[in-house]
Amino acid sequence: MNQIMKQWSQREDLQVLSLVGISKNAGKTTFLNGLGRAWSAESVGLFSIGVDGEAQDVWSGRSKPEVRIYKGWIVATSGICLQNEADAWEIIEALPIDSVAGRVYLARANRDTSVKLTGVPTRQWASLCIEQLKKVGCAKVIVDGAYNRKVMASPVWSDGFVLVVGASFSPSLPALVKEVKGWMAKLLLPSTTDDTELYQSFYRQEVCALQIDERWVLFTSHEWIQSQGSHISAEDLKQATKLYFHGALTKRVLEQLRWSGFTGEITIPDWTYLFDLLVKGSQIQVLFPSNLLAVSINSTSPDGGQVNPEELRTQIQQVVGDIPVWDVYREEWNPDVS
Amino acid sequence: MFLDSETAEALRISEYLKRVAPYTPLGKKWKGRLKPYTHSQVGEWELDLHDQQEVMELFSESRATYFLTCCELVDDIDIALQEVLQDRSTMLTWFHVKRFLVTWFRWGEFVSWESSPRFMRMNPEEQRKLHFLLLLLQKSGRFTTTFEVSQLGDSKWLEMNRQKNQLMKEIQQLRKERQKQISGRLQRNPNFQGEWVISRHQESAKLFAVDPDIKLVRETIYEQIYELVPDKQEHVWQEQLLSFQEKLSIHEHSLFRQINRLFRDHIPFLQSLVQRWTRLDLLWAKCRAAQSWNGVRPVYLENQIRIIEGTLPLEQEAWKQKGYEMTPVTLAMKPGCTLLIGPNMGGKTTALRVVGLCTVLAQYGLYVPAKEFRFPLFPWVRTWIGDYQNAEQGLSSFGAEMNRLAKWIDPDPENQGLILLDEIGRGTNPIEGSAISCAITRYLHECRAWAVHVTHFPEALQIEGIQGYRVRGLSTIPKWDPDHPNQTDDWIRLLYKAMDYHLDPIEDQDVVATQAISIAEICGLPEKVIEQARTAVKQRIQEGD
Repeated sequence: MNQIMKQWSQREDLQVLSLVGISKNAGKTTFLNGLGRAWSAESVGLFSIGVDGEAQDVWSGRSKPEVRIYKGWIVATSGICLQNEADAWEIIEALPIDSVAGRVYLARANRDTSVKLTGVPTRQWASLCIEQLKKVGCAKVIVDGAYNRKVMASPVWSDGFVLVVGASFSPSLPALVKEVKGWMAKLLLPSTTDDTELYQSFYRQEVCALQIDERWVLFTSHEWIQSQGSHISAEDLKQATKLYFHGALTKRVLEQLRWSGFTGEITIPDWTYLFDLLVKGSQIQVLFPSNLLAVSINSTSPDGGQVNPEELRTQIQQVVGDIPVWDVYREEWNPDVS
Repeated sequence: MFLDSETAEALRISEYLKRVAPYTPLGKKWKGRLKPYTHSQVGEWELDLHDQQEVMELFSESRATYFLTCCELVDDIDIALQEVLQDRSTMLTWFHVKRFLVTWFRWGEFVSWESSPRFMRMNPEEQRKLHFLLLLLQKSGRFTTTFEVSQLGDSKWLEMNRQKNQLMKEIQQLRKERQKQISGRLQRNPNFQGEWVISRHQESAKLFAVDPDIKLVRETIYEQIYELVPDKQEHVWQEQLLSFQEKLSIHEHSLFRQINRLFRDHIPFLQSLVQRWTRLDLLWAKCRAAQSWNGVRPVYLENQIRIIEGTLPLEQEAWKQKGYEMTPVTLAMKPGCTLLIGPNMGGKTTALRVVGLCTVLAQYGLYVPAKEFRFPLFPWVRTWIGDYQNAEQGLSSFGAEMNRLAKWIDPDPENQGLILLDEIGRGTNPIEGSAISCAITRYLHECRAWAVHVTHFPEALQIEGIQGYRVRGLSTIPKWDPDHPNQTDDWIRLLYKAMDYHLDPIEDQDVVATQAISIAEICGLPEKVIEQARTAVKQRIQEGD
């Protein structure tokens, strides 16, 4: 495991890595600390995205774990988190970002230490954090995603992500496995082979497009939602063979398409635009394929419950195929690698 | 109140003030408190304008760019200074204070004090103070915009920190070595946190249970988790480390308090630096706004308003996109009512707005959109432009008009503001409307109020000594062509081409313009309507009206 993590640190195409949990308290911080150990000698920037940011999780009230930081790493977090160990930090920048716990600063670690990361609440600010961390010299940026914030795992924002599966989702192993299957169905959607450049131009324009015969009809996802699809004639929808949808593809939208008689191929920018489970029979593909690097599992829930760790690993591996599955807490750490 | 909301809206003042965009948080706060100068503040007003001129002359492109870069480093330093004053400073306080001081230092190096605006120049004593304060925060003298405690250069702190870090390294090394030994013995490496996680069913679980160097810390139905038992040496070092951390923390607090004390003595100096930087930020924001509308510096003139080629930049920009050029407004007026007459759509209301806009912007200490603008400062400005019906208050257009006017007309010569009126009296029957309009005009003229009145009522021209301007009007009357495919759409373009918007002083024999029916014809009213209107006018002229 740590060998592969070390290899990631050497990949130039992997500059931004995100962590996404399937539930609260899935074990992202534990994984992050494991990854950090492998990347301790690298030039790393780190921040968290989401509403949870206090010392205690605002959802569960539990004490948030601290993140292990290594000398030279740069974090983006609220000032209040940096003040306890003044000797550990060099404050290098004040960002125009307000987290739940106050203004966000960039600080470089003068030695190995720990810190709590307060979440940056919006995607735009997350994008600014990434930009600023790169600007101050971070070769790698790790984004610790908070609950239900999978947007940063989009291939548009990050170069790779790790899915963290924890028993906090359910004490039932079959339920956990089923949930992961649902995620994988989205993550393994095929990518476009035809019209890719055209779809990319629609993506840049942020418009939806429907192909009827040789022509493309453009509209926005907002128009679709407002009119529930009725702004396009039923005839056109029946005849259409392709749809590029630049918006949240929900079950409702899929059903509206089906009722209208549309049977063609649907393309969305990436898997993060797909909400709800897939409706059977829909042909959906993505413009930007997902870049899932690994699945990290955690068989223990914060309540003390546990599923069989060996069984969990075996069954998850069966679902995800070739993607590495790691139980970072149970894996032996190879001291020769880091 | 200098401006009421209706006047501000009619002149679109908020849109112009939006262009005054300071860079820093404090600059933005100051802008929020921006107030017009009063007529008792002529000296301060002229100083503001003078400083803007100086800034514009000094700010080359490179200096302007550098200033922006510096402003990005200037936070709400007020808060940091408050923390210093109240002895509540933290590492973040000193980060902000240091950044601010380094910004000043770098500005001085980049621009040089002699080339700075006068209020930005630092005398040698101030330069020494700045340097002294910076050295307190970064003893090395190589000033950076970051902050860490080591930069204070306190030798005791540095030594304690070094020893603490050394100890931490030694503890880490000791644990690493012991973990390696145990791993070799038990044939299993720990996880990344240095814990051994062993399945209960593993054979080796028994060995873990009896190893003296590890202890069980947690267990579940599936596994057991062991961690290293600190040996004597580690215990000793951990206690030393704890002691070091406490001492270091105490010493850090004492260092911050010491710095705090030293800085408190210089708070007035620091506050003056904050004010000066913020002033420059606001002035440069005003300059950039003025540059956006090619502004000219207004000049104080006690008993006249003089505008040469004044414009309305927002409207001008909108018209340019449609292919129209705005004719600039040139006029002069003295106390007493000044009339503006001319054909409909001749730009009279525009001229009214130009007078209002230039006056208001000038009184806010801004350069104005004209080639020249001279005026006295007014205690207030009011406009009547548009329809202020208010159904909630039960006011018709006429009622609203009278209601507002009643509040403005003030016989007190010391409180004469600028009044801009657009066709008073049109909202009622022509006979009474004309009478009221004329009476108000006469009253304002005799009071020597500062007023401009756009009117179509000819009686106003009979007031003795009345001054005014007329729009030159339609030089030719474009022909209505019912067969032209775009006649209706192009009527504005036709009118624009035919209309001469220049203003000429009213002469004794002047009468109000009589081109309304021609304009209505260009606008596309049916021929029958136009003919009937022309016939009715002829009849009234014959009857002597």
